[in-house]
Amino acid sequence: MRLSTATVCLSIVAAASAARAETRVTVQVDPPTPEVGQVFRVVYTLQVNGGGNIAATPLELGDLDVLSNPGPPQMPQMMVWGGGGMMMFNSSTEYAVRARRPGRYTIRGARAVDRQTGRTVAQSGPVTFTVARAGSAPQVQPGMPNPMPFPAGPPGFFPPGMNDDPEPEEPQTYQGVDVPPQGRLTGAVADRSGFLRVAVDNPEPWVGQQVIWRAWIYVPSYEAGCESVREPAFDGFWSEVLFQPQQACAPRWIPQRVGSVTMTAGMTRRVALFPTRAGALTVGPLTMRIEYVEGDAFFGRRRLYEVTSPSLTLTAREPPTEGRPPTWVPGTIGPVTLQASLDRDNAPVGETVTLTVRAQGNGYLGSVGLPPLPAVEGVRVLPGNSRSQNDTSGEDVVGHLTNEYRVVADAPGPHPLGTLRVPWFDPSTQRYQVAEVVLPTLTSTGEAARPDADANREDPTTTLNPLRPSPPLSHHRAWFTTGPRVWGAVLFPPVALALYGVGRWVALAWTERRRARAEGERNDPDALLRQAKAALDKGDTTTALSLAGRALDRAERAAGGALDDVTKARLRAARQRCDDARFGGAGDAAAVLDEARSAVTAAEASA
Amino acid sequence: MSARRWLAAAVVLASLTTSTSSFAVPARELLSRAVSAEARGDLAGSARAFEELVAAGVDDGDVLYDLGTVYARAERYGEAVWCLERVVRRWPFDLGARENLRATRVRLARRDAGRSGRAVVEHEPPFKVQLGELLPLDLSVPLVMMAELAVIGLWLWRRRARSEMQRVGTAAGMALAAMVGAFALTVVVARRTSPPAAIVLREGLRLGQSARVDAIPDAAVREGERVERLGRDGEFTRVRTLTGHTGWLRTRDLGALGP
Repeated sequence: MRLSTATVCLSIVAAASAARAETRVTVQVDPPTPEVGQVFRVVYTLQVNGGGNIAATPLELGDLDVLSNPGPPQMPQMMVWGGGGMMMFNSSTEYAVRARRPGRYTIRGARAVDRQTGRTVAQSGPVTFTVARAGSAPQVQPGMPNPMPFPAGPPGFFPPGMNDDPEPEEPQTYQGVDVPPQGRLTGAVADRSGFLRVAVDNPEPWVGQQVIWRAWIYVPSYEAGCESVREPAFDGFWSEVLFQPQQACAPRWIPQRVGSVTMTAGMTRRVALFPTRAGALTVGPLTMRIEYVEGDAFFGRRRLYEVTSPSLTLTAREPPTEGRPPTWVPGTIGPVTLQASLDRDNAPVGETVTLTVRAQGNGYLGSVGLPPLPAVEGVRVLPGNSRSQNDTSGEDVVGHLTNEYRVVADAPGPHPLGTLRVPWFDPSTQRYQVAEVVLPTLTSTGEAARPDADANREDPTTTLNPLRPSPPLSHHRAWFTTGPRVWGAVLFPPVALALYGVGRWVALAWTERRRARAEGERNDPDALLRQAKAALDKGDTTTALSLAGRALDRAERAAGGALDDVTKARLRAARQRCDDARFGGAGDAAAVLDEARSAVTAAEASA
Repeated sequence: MSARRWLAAAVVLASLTTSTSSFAVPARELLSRAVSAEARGDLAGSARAFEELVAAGVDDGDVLYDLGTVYARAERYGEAVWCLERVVRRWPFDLGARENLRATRVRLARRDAGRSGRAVVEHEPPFKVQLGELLPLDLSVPLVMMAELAVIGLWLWRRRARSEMQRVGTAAGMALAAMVGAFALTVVVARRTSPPAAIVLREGLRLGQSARVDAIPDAAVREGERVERLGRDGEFTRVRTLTGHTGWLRTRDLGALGP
């Protein structure tokens, strides 16, 4: 990754002489003898004393793999002040590069040119170095980048210590709960633009044991602003927020090395978690929007990113069953301390006194509670108020649980209330221990409480009816026990009605169709003549002649006005003969029928 | 030896085998034991006898009523509520069972009040559940069917009505049948769509946050309290109380209320 550290140092020297520009270009390889595959740095520095419109040219890195954006150091375009003022600018760029093969490599092209004239005003000679085989070169860690001639400090116009005697600073060691874990970078996906890192102090806690979850923001700047986008989910945990900054993003920013990159880390969250069940429990990701200035306050660029931390999975364990007291309440992790007190040691019989039991344990104590008090003869113990409070001022969350009980004595005399025992699990020894407190003694005075005079009278509201001595002794059968049976029965009548309606409609349509067909047959002249022939064959002359007459009428009616006079006369003559034969018995019925048929045929042909 | 003789021998052998195993007590004998044990105050023995009857399949309403009453007298209130609730669900018009159920709840509440200073007699279930339990399905479904048939019959009759009075009468009859049918259908729908319920059988139980033996305890549940069954995981059942708390209980600590 490229860490662009364009730092500008401004120095004003009052001098009577005129300002004179002086430019220098340097290239350094760090470490001087890297190994194959090792990521190392090439520092390209441009220093300009005075003024001028100077620009650096890109480096020629040859066969090296460039892991960063290969841009040359940038210089601001400023004019030289007149009147004796001289300005000095110093800018450098680090390239993260890697060689694939051992051998000698040469870096060329380090030049400073005047932007206006294009003339080379300074250049550095080729830099040759050797890349050794893996494991052969002495391990030399890349040193801290030092682009500034002055010690690093907060961004500002004048770096601190500029006018002081510059002595080398002692390396500063940071301590506190906000210091990130050292060593291998875990709980994060490193990104030179910024990332979130999360960590827990105990990845395998016992159920109910405290786990501290912390989140840091890593940025390539001195500080950053941040805004929460999505808070993490703590499913399966009971949680207590210990730290969540309200105004600043982090209380302080601690320099950190991430590989070869210098970043600063600020703690932004600190939460105490208590697993509520055993198994794999996941802390969800935290998403934040971060903003910082890359570079310095004058010439830096404002960056805005959204970063998300990875999820963390913890494995919560069940305390062992071996040696577990039967009254142990799951989740009670110690140590637990107990105190008990009565508001009054002496009270008349029948009056209520308050027994207060105070327990102190870890932050989860208020959720699991305490076992019940031991039963005491002659004393009634009724539950009262209960309140819990967590103290988050220290490293560990301390839970304070206060239970109140109402105690009523039914008989005079001293009543020791017994001993309250609260088993708890010790994670350090993985054994169970018991916290005990001897409850105070209540001394009652007066006469024993008399039983209620009405208690012996039968209460009708609690009277039970007698047994039924002769039940039928049968097996109960319920028919409508499943959905299909219920809905099948409910829908059966309307469905049956619908089917009946459909069937009836079909039948009516069929009957109508048959009727129409019959109606058609009754009015068709040819059908009538066939019926007449059939009747004549049966010997029913009268019916035959009647049908023949109807056929002649139908034929004439069906033809309408399309018949000519001849055909009409023929039809009338045939009808007259039918009537004569039918009513007068004149003529041969068969012949009359034939004549009628031919007349009908002629009429149909004319139509 | 002929096949017939082999068959006879096999039948005799089978009967001998079964006759040497334990004798099944007749149901009448069990009932007699149960009633006589209750009469002499042996409530545990009476309950055992009734439980045997029920386990043998003799679980009609009167037997469950007797078992629930014996449980109530023996101060096993959760189980008493469970038995009597089943009787009332099967036949809501069993006034004797309703009275004993009410008396059991009052006894349970008085016991809790004496121990802790406060008690809840009963949480009313949601209106839909109450509506669904007005009638058993074996009554409401046939009522729906009869109402539908009545509406259909009256409609057909109305088509053939010759006088205005007949038409008005059939129309009124149809409306009445439709109302009865709609009510019965509402009861059917409410009962079918209500979540399955159960009764907590024992006292001193707390809902677990997970389906494990060592689960972190959560809200307490009362003996005899009605809960909704949401799901099951092994020997645990996830439930929701009428006050909205959810959690896990052992299935054996619950008495399921049937459809």
